[in-house]
Amino acid sequence: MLSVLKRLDDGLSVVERQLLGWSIVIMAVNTVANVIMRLGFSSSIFFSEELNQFLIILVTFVGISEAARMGRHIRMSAFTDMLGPQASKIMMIIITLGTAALLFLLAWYSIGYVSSLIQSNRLTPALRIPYYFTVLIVPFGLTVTGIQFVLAAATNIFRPGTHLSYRVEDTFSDADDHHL
Amino acid sequence: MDLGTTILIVMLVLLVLGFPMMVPLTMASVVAFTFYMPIDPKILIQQMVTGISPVALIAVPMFIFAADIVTKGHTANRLIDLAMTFVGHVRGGLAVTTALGCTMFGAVSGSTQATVVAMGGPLRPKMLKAGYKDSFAMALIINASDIAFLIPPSIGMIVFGVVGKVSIGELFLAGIGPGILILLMFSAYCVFYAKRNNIPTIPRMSWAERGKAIVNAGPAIMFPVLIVGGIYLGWVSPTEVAAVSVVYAIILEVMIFKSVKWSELLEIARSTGLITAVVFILVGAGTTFSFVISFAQIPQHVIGALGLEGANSYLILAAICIAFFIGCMFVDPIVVILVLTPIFMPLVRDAGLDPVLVGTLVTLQVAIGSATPPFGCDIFTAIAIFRRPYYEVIRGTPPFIFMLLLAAVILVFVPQIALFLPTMAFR
Amino acid sequence: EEWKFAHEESPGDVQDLYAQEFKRLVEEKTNGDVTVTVYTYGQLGTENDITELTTAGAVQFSNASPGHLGTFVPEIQVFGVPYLLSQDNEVNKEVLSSSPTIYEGLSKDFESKGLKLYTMYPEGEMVWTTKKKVTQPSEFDGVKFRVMTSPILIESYESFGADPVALPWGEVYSGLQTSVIDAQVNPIFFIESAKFYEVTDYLIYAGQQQYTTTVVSNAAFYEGLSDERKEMLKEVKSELDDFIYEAQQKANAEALDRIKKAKPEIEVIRLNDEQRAAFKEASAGIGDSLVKEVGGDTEEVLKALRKEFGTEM
Ligand code: NA
Ligand code: NA
Repeated sequence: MLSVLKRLDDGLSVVERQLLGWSIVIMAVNTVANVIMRLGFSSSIFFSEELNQFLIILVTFVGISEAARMGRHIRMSAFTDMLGPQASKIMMIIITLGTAALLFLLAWYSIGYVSSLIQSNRLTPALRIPYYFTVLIVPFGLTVTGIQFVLAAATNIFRPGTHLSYRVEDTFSDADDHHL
Repeated sequence: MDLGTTILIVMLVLLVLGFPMMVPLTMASVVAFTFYMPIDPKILIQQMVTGISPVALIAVPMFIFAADIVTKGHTANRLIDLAMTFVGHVRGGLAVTTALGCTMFGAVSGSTQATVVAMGGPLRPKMLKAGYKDSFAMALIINASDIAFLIPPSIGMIVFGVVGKVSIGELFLAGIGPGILILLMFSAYCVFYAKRNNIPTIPRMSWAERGKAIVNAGPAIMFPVLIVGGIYLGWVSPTEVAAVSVVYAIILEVMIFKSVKWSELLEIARSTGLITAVVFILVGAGTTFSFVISFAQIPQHVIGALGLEGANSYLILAAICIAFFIGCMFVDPIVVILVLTPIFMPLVRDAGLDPVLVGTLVTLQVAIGSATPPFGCDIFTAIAIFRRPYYEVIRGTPPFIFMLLLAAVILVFVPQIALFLPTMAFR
Repeated sequence: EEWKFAHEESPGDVQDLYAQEFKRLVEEKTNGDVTVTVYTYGQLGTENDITELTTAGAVQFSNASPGHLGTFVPEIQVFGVPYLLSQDNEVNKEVLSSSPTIYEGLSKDFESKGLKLYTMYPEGEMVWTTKKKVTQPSEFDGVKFRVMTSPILIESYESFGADPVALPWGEVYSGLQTSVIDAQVNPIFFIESAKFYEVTDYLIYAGQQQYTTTVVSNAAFYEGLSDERKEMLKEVKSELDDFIYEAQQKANAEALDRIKKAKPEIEVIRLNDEQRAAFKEASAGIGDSLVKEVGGDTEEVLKALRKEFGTEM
């Protein structure tokens, strides 16, 4: 059971990382292509801005899940660092469960947002595609990130040590992971 | 309890307990939406998406991408070698090189943390070998890296420009003067420190050796030239220049120095995407938070309570400096800019203050705050990279903090240091 | 009772003048039972956001320009068609404040999105600021013209002969300065406050468009008001129709004076009827292509409005 879950999550992680990498690459290509079009051919790619906006939303909401998996979200660890092992473990369980709960709540809100956009038929200004396409990733990203934090809580409950995520243990050498 | 007090307490408690930073910011909004404002909570998500939608924000992932590429490559070492050939023979020359190197690399990468990583790594061992105390070396690296915030491109300035609706091009130019001023102050202190502690020097280099170092570093020096020149000549907008610098970084590290392989680029892009997400979820959460405080008209109340409405412009500048400085001692600089800028901007406009000057001061404060205990984020980066205890890392910082604060005071009374370049270029 | 009114301009700009006067009148006529809180640009997010906030009932009134509203109510984009409005501003005022096509026809499209169309008013003529003198379409050759990301605007400026470029507005000033772009278009009061005149040499009045804005209200909120309140709002609207028409003209005239004073060498060009006719002819197909793209009632709305404005082709 657990190994199936792990395999599923490994697969999801691969997909998310590919999405992240290619989105960043396409963003660079799209922006530079627009510059070249303007300087070389005096015209611009009319959907360039919109594509970048779509990509940045995609990167953000896909990336928060992978960041949770890698224990990379920025947090202020000064207080938890001072706690003993037992207390810091309990604190980490509270933090991960609390974060998961908030993310699920946000995911619920975002479903409301997406469905209101579907009803409103709003179109994007340049490409004229339904606006909700650009934010479909939001509920997905929030939910998957919430699940990552549940897994982190479970890891803290069932395994020894304090864990930022089910893959990353909270040790001194990981201190750089708290920050950029 | 009123809304302002409640969300402040919610935020502080969750922050101190060590929740990921997005939790305090969004939880404050959730509390506000649930108990104080009769609004559909989908608006919370809408604001979050809006926060990350401005086209100009594309500059952030693009600069991170370019910085990741040059950090992996040889740009850093070549800049150090270049600086050493010129000032290595002066007493304190290595320390001055460190200051100069951090400034130059910061100029390229636009990220203080990338600078601490890229320059601190090779430079700290050299300084220790030359006889500098570790606390001095680390404090110098941390604080000189903060000049990266002021020299274009600067993520802090981009975020300030977007939130405060201030020309990013002007902000970029305005940062250069104060950046050089701080570099000079640091260099003077380095020479003073080396003289007092009798730090030995290395032999003077011949012009032939200097020439060779220039050739070696040549394409790397072109980086800031390309960025500033590209904007200045009107080839590219400040947002686009970020993407162009990615292309230049690839040309430099992949094609010229051959220090990064084509196959590694996608992996670097993935890591860029990850960092972008970590920052942008906070940008989104920060936008939600600033929506809440605007909607509830909290800035108007706070500014009214402080008696700042219609206050003397020096008083307003002082209030801004103090607020951003204190904020950055505790919280990530980007978040501080996102939260505080909308509160102060109306006041800045009413007082007729130059928003570009304010942006430069804010960026400076953010830089200082990031290197200031207790929670300055550069301190944590340094702890992580140098593997030294907290106290050791912060011990040498007071003189630098003092110089930075002095620079802020000078800037308030001699704003031309910042405004000289943008005035020449744009006004 | 508190009503929130969000607009998309800075304090002192035309929309703010309207909102502040609305606040004054409503508070006066309700003897303070209703207080109106005005939110200016950026406080509650972007233009699209404040419209969404209105549909969600978080704010009661908001401004939206057709460009942004077009993503909600596509038919409203007809106001982007060049030379739809009359060259006579009295006619424009009359039609925009009481047109049956707008207040009976288009109004239904708004209601289907949860919005009540309260009023429409012009904020002033859209003036070109350019680095190059342009009096006929051929002179637009090679001119990089910044427009908002909207297909109809891009097509319009292509038809005028320019090379349209999309650029976020925060970069327009430095874009003009460094010649990333050569021209942009905005009402004169905005050109003055954004200082675009500093980095261009010509102010060109071509009569192609008025910057029209729409005040919308949340439909459920409006329907739920007492008859007395609705009557009061109607009164306020008709008083404001006159107020804003004059305030807008005054604001733009003063802004132009300040520009001339700050930069005496700037050349102000008002195209004559013949010159305007050339641009009008060049862009004659824009209405049809909008009809094709947007569909719905666009064709009827466009036809009816042309009749009301007296600009039939
Ligand atoms: Na920089
Ligand atoms: Na900090």
